[in-house]
Amino acid sequence: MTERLANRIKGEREKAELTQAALAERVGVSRKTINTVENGVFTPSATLAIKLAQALGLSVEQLFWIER
Amino acid sequence: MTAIELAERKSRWRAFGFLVLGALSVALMAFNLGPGSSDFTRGMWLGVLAGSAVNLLPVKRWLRPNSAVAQLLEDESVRENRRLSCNLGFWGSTVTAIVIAAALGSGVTLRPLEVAEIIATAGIASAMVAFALLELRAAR
Repeated sequence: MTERLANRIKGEREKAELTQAALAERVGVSRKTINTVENGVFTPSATLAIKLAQALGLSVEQLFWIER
Repeated sequence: MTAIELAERKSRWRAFGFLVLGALSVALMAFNLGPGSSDFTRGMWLGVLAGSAVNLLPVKRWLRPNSAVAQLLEDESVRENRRLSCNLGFWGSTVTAIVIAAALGSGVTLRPLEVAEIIATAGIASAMVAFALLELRAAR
């Protein structure tokens, strides 16, 4: 069975009125990393997932879930 | 200009540079297989290939570990792209070596230096092109 890490970063980012670049600056990564994580191209490390959740004021479980 | 924007711009230039270096190394290798090859063109090929190989390593991060831009140019998605492209380079050179072995068995003649040039170029050029394409895709 294929599993993938899904996320709601784009929606939450837009709700917080942040651009990809602004979120990248908050988290300390490049805009490309935000873009690839948002699109599910790149699976972030636990550290980055926690930083993203903190930057958007959510828990990791609220931002990420496993899709089967 | 913020560090994010500067890193984005540098990353795009790096990707285009990798495409150019990859194409140049293949072109020089092809030229060296022909009758016009000389020690000078072989030296050029070696220089381009060595420069390309060094660029596949996170050298800037090593040289300037505290630079914000250097850190952004080597964050975790870039490291993943680097890992994937180096894997692809390994398979590129392995498959090329197998194809050359088969070709040599069926009567094609190549000098040992030419075989080395083809395999090394296949490995490095495929890794560079893969890295550039992954980076450009990520930046879309």
